[in-house]
Amino acid sequence: MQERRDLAAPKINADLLNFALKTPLWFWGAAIGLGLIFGAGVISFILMLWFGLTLLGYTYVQYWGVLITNFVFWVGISHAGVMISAILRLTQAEWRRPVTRAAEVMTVFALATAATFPLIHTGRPWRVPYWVFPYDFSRGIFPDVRSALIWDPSAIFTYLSSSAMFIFIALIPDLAIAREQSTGWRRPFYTIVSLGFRGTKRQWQLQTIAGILLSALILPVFVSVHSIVSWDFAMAITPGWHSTVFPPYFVIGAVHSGVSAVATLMAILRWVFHLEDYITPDHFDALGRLLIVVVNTWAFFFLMDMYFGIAGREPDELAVWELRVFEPPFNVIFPVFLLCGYIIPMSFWVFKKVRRNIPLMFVTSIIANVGMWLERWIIIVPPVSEKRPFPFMWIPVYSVQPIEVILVAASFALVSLGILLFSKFFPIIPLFDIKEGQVLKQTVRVGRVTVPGIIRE
Amino acid sequence: MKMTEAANHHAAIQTPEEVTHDLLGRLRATGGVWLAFILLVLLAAAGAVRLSIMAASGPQPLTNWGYAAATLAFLVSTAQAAPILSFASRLAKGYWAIPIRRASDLLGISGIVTTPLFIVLLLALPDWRGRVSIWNANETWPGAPFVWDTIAILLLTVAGLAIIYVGSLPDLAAARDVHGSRLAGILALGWHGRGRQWAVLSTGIILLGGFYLMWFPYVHLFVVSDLGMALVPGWKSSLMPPYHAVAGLQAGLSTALVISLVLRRVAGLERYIGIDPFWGASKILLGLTLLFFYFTWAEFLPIWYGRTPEEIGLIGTLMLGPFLPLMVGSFVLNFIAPFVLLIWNPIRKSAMGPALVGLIIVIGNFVDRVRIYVASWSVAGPVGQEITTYPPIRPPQVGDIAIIVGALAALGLLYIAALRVLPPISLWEYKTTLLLRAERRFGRTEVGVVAKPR
Repeated sequence: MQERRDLAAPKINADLLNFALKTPLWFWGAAIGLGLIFGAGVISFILMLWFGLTLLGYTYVQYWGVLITNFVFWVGISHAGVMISAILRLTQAEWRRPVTRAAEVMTVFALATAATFPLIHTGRPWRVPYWVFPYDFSRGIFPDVRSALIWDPSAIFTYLSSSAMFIFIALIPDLAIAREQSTGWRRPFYTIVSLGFRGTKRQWQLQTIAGILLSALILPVFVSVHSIVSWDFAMAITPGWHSTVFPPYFVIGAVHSGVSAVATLMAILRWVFHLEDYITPDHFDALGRLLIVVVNTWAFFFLMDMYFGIAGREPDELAVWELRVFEPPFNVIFPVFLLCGYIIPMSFWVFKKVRRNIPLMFVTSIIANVGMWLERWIIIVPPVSEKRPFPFMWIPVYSVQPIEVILVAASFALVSLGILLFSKFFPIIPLFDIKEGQVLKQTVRVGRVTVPGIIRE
Repeated sequence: MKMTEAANHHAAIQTPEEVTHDLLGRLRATGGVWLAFILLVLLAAAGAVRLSIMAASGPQPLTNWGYAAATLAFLVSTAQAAPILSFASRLAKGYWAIPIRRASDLLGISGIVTTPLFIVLLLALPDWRGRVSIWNANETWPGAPFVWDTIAILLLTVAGLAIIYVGSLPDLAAARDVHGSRLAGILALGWHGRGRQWAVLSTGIILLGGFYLMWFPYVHLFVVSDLGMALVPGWKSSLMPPYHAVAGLQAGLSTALVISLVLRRVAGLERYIGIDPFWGASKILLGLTLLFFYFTWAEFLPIWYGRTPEEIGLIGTLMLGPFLPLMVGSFVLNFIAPFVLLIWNPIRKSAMGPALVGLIIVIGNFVDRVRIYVASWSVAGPVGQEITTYPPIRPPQVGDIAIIVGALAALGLLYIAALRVLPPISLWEYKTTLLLRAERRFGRTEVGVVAKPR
């Protein structure tokens, strides 16, 4: 990185553990505010259980709407953690250091939130174990292994547990520092969770090896999760969904929305925790450059999906695309999705001045995620809104109900609250990673210029 | 980190002057090059004659064109994909790849072979009206597919040649200044290494590389959809173009590694091309190998589960019918063997290991292209037909072999000719690494330090 700050270890400890060890007043305001929105979601959920799915906009043909869109959206956001952490760690990208933990934490809370939505969507969540797990060996009745109800939980819980382990392994050295710096009830807490880490050579070796191994092993899980989510759609022969490109298209879309969300989160962390010495415009520049590659790859996959959908000239497939592009209300949503998902962010991110401007990166990354939420809506809803051959199957256009809006808002509150609470107890920027970066940085003299350098294997 | 061990992998530190004189001196060496030159000219001419006869002899059984189409797709996937390695490493400031950047860039010269081959194949295609294709049966796109496909391959070829030329300007100037070469002087376009010239060069080569990378998947889209998918009734896979491009990136990197090993051994470039480029590239190759598996699986699964009549025909034609041995061969050579080999660090951390894996992948890519294109041209027929019987594998005839070998010989010929004008290592980039790398004392050990200028 170019913008180098010389930071001594005590300053790093003080800056990054400050919020975990002291509680400012605004924390309570933020936590209560987010808690209230989440509470509204819980009440809506209870109401939905009481009165049934009729409170949602579903009809007897149109069965997948806001809840499944939100599920896919949050699974997508969860892809940021591994994308940033594992890949950048394996490729030794220096700029990853302050970004990794926040991204990993977002992964865990986003994924946990995502997992609740199919449960809510079932309408009778207490019956889920009945559908998912082998339950009646005596009569030889097993769940259908070809069903998405098996694939999705398997993928999501594998990813969730491995991501949690990934965070914990990287957290151990920082927990040991927190143990040394804390007093009162916090000290025994950090003593227990730091697992006796003292920074011996052997402990560092194990921690490093575990980090690298987990980085490599988690990558296939990361790819499989959204692929499996995409196959929920692509395996069906529903026109508009039955497309071979869906797995990589979903994965790259997830990376697009996930990395954009990391940019949003990094801006918030910098402002809220005053981390100007740690999160610099260089980090946003690097995220922006990564996003340019990601967004263009995503656009290529989108074009493939759309163009092959149209080129086949199959009437059912054409009808779905006509619905997506030309018929209300999708004809309004479609251009907004394209503008927000690709055109606006891409036209901004190509400029270095924008990539290094944190408020602009904050705004454009949010716009990108608005676009990506709408993209999921465009993928999921129109194919089940298409008029079927028989008039009795013709249905009114799906209309979003207030309870669905509250549930979506509650999901955002839940993820935000989770990240806030995590950063209250644990450093949201990895101390040991920052310190390692400080140790490895060097300069090289080239002629009359001193060029920043790094120790490399 | 095993820093001392790592430091040993860097090539021995040389002075920029030594590098210039040594590498430019190699341009004058001849050895057995003329013999190879003549042999390659003969083989290329035989291939060109066979292709011309086929093109001139009017409509034939379409199945005869299968191997020519496979050869084109193979060259677009291997040689024409290689310059992307250089661009990616330039963008990411990956200095490890500098010794093999020129070898990769020069493979962009393959466009001179693929462009005419593609044009001949486009002329051999059956009537497009009524056929399901990305061009919507000629109504939307005038002149499709001939005009658009020709423009696409020409753009890629011109970009590839421009990358070679722009990236060679400082080296041509060095050849002019050191050897007084008149040709190099003309080609160097008055390059004197001014600040402005360097700024234009570094921006230009990134922009050209960016265009090349962005355009590459679209060329694969045109090749596989027009010479493959559109010929097979019911084949409409939106994943096929990305699959084709990803397999191309894997094979392109493999080709660059194989060529680099040959240069290292045959041209005696061990002091320039160390272990680092192979080690660095092998990690990317492992990633691309996993992607190959992912794309193959993602292509297969929805078709297998969909089970519409068209999809059953497709599986029988391309995957599990008579072409099953090629499907299995492609899977083994492109995924299983490379994966099993590349997971071992000692194999990755050698020159021979990654290059050997690269050779396996290049062969695997050819097998995969034969599977796709020979099968497609075997069922190509009138519009509206259904696949009732799966075509058998058609073994290559003498004419097919002449075209395959001729195309490869033409590429070899152009490559060797380019190496008579340009040094096999990019002089200016290599000398940059000499300035930007240093050895430092760190605690009780020696470590390598890499400078990263903005």
